[in-house]
Amino acid sequence: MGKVRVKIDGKEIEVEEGKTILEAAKALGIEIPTLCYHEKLLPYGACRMCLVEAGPGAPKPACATYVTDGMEVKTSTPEVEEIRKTVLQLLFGERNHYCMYCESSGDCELQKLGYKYGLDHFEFPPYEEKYPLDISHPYILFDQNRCVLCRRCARACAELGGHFVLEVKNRGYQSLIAADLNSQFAQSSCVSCGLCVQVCPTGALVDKRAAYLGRKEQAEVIKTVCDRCPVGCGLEVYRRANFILKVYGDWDSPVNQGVLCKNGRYLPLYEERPRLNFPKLKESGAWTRVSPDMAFKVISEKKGSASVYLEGSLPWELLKAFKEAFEDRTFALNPVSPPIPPSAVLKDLEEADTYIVVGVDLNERYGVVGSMIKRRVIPQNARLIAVEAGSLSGITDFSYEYKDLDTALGEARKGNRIVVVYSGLPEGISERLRVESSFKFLFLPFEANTMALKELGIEHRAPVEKVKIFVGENLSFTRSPGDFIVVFTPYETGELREKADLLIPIPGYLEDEGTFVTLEGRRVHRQKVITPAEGVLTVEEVSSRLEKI
Amino acid sequence: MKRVTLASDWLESCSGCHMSLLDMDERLVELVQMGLVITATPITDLKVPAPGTDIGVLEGAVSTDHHEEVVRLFRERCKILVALGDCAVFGGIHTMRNYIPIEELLKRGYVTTESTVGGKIPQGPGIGKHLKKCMALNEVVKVDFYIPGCPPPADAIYQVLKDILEGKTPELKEELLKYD
Repeated sequence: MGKVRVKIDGKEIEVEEGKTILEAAKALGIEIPTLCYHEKLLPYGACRMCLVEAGPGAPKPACATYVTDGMEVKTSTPEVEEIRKTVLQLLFGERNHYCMYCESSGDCELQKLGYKYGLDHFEFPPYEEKYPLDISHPYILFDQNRCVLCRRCARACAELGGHFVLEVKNRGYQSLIAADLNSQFAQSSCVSCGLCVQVCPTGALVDKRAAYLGRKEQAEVIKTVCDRCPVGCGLEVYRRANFILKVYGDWDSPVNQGVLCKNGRYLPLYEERPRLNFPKLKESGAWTRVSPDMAFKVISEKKGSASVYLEGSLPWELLKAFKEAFEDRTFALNPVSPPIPPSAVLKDLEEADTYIVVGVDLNERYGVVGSMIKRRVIPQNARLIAVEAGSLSGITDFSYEYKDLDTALGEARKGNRIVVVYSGLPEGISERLRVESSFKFLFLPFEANTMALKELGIEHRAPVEKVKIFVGENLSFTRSPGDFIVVFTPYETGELREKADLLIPIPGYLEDEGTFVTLEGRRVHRQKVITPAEGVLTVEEVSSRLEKI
Repeated sequence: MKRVTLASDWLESCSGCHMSLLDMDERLVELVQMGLVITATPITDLKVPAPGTDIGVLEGAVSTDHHEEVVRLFRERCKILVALGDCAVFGGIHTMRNYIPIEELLKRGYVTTESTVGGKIPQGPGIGKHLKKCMALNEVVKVDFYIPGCPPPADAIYQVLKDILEGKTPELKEELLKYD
């Protein structure tokens, strides 16, 4: 790539060919106003705020114009400033931009531009046409009246999420952002990844739960790592007064670069199960509150005959404490070992030209891995082959059942860099995949900290003993007569009240710190973001009590 | 000392902007000492601005024919017209009624609301008739200066009046320019 010399506002700079005026100006420290431009998205040139003088002819959008050798750019002449003010007036005048009671007032990029350019009245009177309001989606509110048609949502849904749900329908002033071209959000193929809300500059797409609960400057933004699956995406958690307002993706995280899925962004915040707030013991059929000392005394008395069954969703420190207390009577509730030894890392997804996803629905689980694959299929001409991959099978022409595995493998072999994406596999399937020597295998461990279970030598086994200790968030088990069952969990469900004898509360989502091992073997430390109720035992407390029993 | 007369009124509004104007507290006295003479305002309870009034300040949107009459009178009789608050500047919250037919609007407001018993839509010469659209001031007459905000900060109102008294063109920015 060659270099070009360009002069911006009198200052000269040499940049690589293929850079835009906006990028060259940024390198010189010159600011140009933008609205539809987003660092992580391809430039679109929709809003026209970044118009600059760049030689003869009409002013050019700086974000979407490549620099040419010898180009002379002026970013701020009187004419350009007038144009910017008019563009802003047109943007405000097109739809209904009430600031007074808008959820985004104070955090709105359109409003910020209005303030910056001293916009103190409307040249073009609005409020004559009412645009649709879509509140069907469970987590996201879509108010078309606030939309500036920057299309960041549609671009992010396609370029980053790979979902291709949002697009623009109609033309001219009748343009509307639409899900699946004409559906209500809730009935569309939206997977609730939330990227649209994260990139929307105005109050058009808004997080329902966080609405009207505070501006960004009133909240604390805490960077941490998600613990819902072993990918380990970077999060920015907005917290205000010990309450999680919303969860955004961390644009700076090298793992996910701002992309999330509904499992990390929305589902845990909509948890409906009642919380367990203090230890409880069932005596003669009735539940009574007991102290932590009493609870652990009961466990201590049964220690010799008890076996522990751990979910792989728990932090490393807690898993280790149980292993050290119960030694070879410590087991995992879910499968630990990969059916095929892994040979790929997440980065291999960026260079593959063929993906074969077997037995796992990447729209429901490991959503960010799904995004990494889906966003390359259309734009980069990669092929997606789905073998019993749930809803993923519906978006590709190459969709097969296990009985047609040979055909699927035949299709896959046509590629050059082939990656198999899998989690658990049924009998007989893993052997047939394993022999493909030209394929790379990306294993998605069953749970967020399955890799830690492996490191600690804890293996999967179905519960058989009479005295059992279960530890986890989503526990479901059978009770046989004569059993004594202890459960460490954040939630007190009807099933647990019926089947357990002793319940001990542990922290829930983002309520305690801990170490997790991601699918690539990286250790990540998760921060404590909010404090649970007083009676809930921390990981540290449980670990130190287990040492003493 | 030069006398500068000021008249004001409120249209389709909540009077919050006038409260914010009073929130200037002692600075109102300062402006009076600079020459400001407050004549017909809802606070002084004199109803009509005299011809040749220097500054006219209007709060609220233009929603009925009565409002329109007041606006035209103020434009005619005041040398400088200032739109005070989001409703006068942008049209504000009341413009929500632009999407609803007027008969339906009045029926809902006076008859069908849940706590109303035996409601009737008010009629009579003293009741204004709704215009087709609820508008900002500058959709009806020429406006000279704007003070956005809901309500505008007292500091902004003080700044604008002071600038006019000192013969400067007011320009609101940073902390003083707010749309909410």
